[in-house]
Amino acid sequence: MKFGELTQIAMLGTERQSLAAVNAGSALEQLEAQLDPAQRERSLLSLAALSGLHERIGSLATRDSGPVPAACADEAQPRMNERAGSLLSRLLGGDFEELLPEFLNLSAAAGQLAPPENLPALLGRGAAKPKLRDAIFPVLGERGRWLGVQNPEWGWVVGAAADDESVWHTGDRPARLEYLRKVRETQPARAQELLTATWKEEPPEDRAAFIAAFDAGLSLEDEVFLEAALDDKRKEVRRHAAKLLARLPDSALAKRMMERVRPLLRFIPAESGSLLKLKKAKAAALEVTLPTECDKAMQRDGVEPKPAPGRGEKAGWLAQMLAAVPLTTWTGAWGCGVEDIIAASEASEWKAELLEGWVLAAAAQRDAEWAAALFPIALEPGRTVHLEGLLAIVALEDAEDHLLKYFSASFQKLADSPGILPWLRQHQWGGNFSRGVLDYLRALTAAESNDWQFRNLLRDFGCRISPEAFSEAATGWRTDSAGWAFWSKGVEDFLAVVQFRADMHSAFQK
Amino acid sequence: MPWTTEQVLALAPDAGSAKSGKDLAAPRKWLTLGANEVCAWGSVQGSGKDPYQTSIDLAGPAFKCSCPSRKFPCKHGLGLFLILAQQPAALTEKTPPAWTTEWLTKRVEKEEKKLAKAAAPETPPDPEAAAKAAAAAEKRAASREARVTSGLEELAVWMDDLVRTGFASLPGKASSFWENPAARLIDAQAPGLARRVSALDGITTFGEQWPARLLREISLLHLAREGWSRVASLPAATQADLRATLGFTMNHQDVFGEPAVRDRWIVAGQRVTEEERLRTQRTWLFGAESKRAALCLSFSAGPNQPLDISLVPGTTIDAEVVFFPSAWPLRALVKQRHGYAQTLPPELPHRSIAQANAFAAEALAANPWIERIPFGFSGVTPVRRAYGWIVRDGDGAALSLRVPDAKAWMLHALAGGKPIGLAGEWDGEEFAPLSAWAEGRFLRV
Repeated sequence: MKFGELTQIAMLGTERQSLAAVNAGSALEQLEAQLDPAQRERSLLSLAALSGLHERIGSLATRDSGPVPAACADEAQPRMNERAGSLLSRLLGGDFEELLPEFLNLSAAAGQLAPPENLPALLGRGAAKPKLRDAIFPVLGERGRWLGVQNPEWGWVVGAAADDESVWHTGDRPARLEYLRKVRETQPARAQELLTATWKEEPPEDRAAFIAAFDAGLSLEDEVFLEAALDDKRKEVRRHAAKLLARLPDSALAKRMMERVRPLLRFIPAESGSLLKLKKAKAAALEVTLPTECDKAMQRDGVEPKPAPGRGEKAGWLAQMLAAVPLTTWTGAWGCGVEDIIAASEASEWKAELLEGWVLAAAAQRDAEWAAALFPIALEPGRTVHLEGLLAIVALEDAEDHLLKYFSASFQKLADSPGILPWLRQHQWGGNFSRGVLDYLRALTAAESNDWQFRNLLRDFGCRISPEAFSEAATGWRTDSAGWAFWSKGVEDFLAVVQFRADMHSAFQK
Repeated sequence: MPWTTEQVLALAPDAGSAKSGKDLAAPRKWLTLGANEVCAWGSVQGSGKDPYQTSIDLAGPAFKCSCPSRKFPCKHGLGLFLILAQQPAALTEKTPPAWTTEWLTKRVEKEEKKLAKAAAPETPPDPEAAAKAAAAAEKRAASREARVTSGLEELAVWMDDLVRTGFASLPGKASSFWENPAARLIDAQAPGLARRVSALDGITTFGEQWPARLLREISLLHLAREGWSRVASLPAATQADLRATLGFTMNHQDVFGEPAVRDRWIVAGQRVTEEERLRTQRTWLFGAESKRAALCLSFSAGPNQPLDISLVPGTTIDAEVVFFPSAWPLRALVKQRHGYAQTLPPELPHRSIAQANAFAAEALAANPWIERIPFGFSGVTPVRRAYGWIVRDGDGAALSLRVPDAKAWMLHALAGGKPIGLAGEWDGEEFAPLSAWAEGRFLRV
């Protein structure tokens, strides 16, 4: 009897259905015929044992004739070595995952690919975290792209490879934003066209995000679009548009601002003293007339009428307007150097607003000369100035040199400066700066403390220090000091991160 | 023989040890570190006054550490081994310290004693005491066999009832329906059968084919009972298989007396399963020349009883293996090792799915109670179908894969559409992969 038939009888139960008689034909059937039909249950089980084994032993493998994807092409680049592969597995498994972007960049720089068994995890990570896609794509190789096409969850690979406009039309917000940014870098005009076409249908939050992307590749070509955006319903959009226009010295907005502010400032050049004429030397000065009102036109151009807390209303308007006037106006109009203007501003009663205006202007207009001159001032305590803006444009080594001098003067400032910490945590430090910070940390951790917030930051610092400083980072800690009991956990985290990074870097060497 | 990080971490007794081991894989934490071709050593400051001394015998691998941990290997052993795998240059000393060489010497002595004992002729026992001992053993055996017989008779009644009322009444039955007869079988000293009965709990939820699966399994239990009722008339090899299925164990010393098969044995795969706090480790070997398969079992009843870590998947050992008696010998013990052999490329025995099927057919025909059969394919390709994953061979034959989706994608990525080496367990319906070989590398699945 066939096994399937026996199964049906077993489902119903032998009390409801009996077994059919067996013909003693084949060898199997002859065996079966030897069973005692009166013993229904035992016979059923014996038949099932025989028939079940018979079928299983005699079964042939199923045939599969479905389509198979074409085999993957050979790789053009080499794979990373075993050691690097095992570090990658750890990163993907959750150890030190903040170091994943650095690892991927090392691999891409070395021109090496991820091991194939890590590819599904990498593809999945890219699907979940769009920010990582640029770092992941270079290490995928032929195999990764081949895989990506086969699973709809990993569709981002197709987008990254093809780089075509379908992303703009069908993707989700993060994908579209990424795409827009990319296009702005190479074809800003095309990006403007794409955005203008869909502008009216975009929801307000998207409009704000997209217009901020115009930061890259900004030029007068964008003026018409941005000027129109000054009338947008959403405040964020208007604000971004004004800021961007302020960066274009030839834009209508910049010219309007210039006309408003020019009459408000008067520069009095320094007068040298003269002994004979019994005249004292006078330093350069800046006479300031505050604006009287903040009219609709000014507000349209981005001036916020409400004052910041602890700040005068009119002085605040002045500072904001200064930010929008091209800095070259002043050096041109007054025929003097940047340092002179800054010195004169320091001497004025409106010192705070003037300096803030200059800092905002320098940051917005990416003026490196002004930024370098303003930097030391921006570091002084109590300055409500936009340090991050300056830090974005001052050359990295210069910024680091200034900051090092600053820390040497007073260690506490690092912990207390609100503007510096975020910047520090965002980029990789140079060699000298790393060593300076290490010295500072070694001193800090020798003293007693219970600043657990700062202790938690140490791990992040480990991600920042330069590879040049790896070997020194391990030594010189005062493990027998009073502060060690508190600080040791943070330093252990720091050292663990540094060790892992050192392993990563050495895995890609030679 | 180069060790990979994955191989080292696979030796960890639990996830906590693996993490602690990774933390200790930093050379700066160790006071001394050294290695030569046969061993590695290091000393590390722990929470005690004196530093801990850790040694590894690379031939085993085997570990020794002076720390108080009961885990095996401890985190220090794992850390030291990871350093050896990842940064061998950090092991700067070349001459082993006294505490390492002493331990190695003792290990060699112990090994030699074990072999001598197995080979030595038995000293003629005191005849009276021997007769007494033999009689007592016989009495125990007879008593057990009687228990088993009556236990199986009870089981037969239970099975008759089940078949008479029909399987359709089963869905919704409580676990006790299966646990009760299983408990009775334990009392009857037939633990092998008890395990198979309790494994049936929940079978009605395992998909549409459950009635066929259930009938198959019950019919095999019935076959065991029928066989037991005429056990003396069965061929010796089948008697051995029946006894093993019921749960009779055999003395390892007696197994060592069987003829040994020396070969280059590929350690093709390993899996640990847990049932009621008993962990069972199955390690599958394939003989490169003999094309035979061997199964080495190791058990652990608790955290203080470590599993055998001496067989490392992905390695090939030159060893003599002895088989437990069976109509299709599979379960085995490693009697003596002669070192590691070349690991890649592995000479896996099954060149096609048809060949593997024939292998399985042979096994089943000889021992109907066999539950898992090892397959070692030299080249199959994973393919994704709407209903699940399969592997295909060059002839277009296919086997269903039993593997989590994420692992299947990993295998697919590894293969890139081309055939790869794959070894795993076949249960009659699905193939569960345990190890893969691709692009000249070994990977544990």
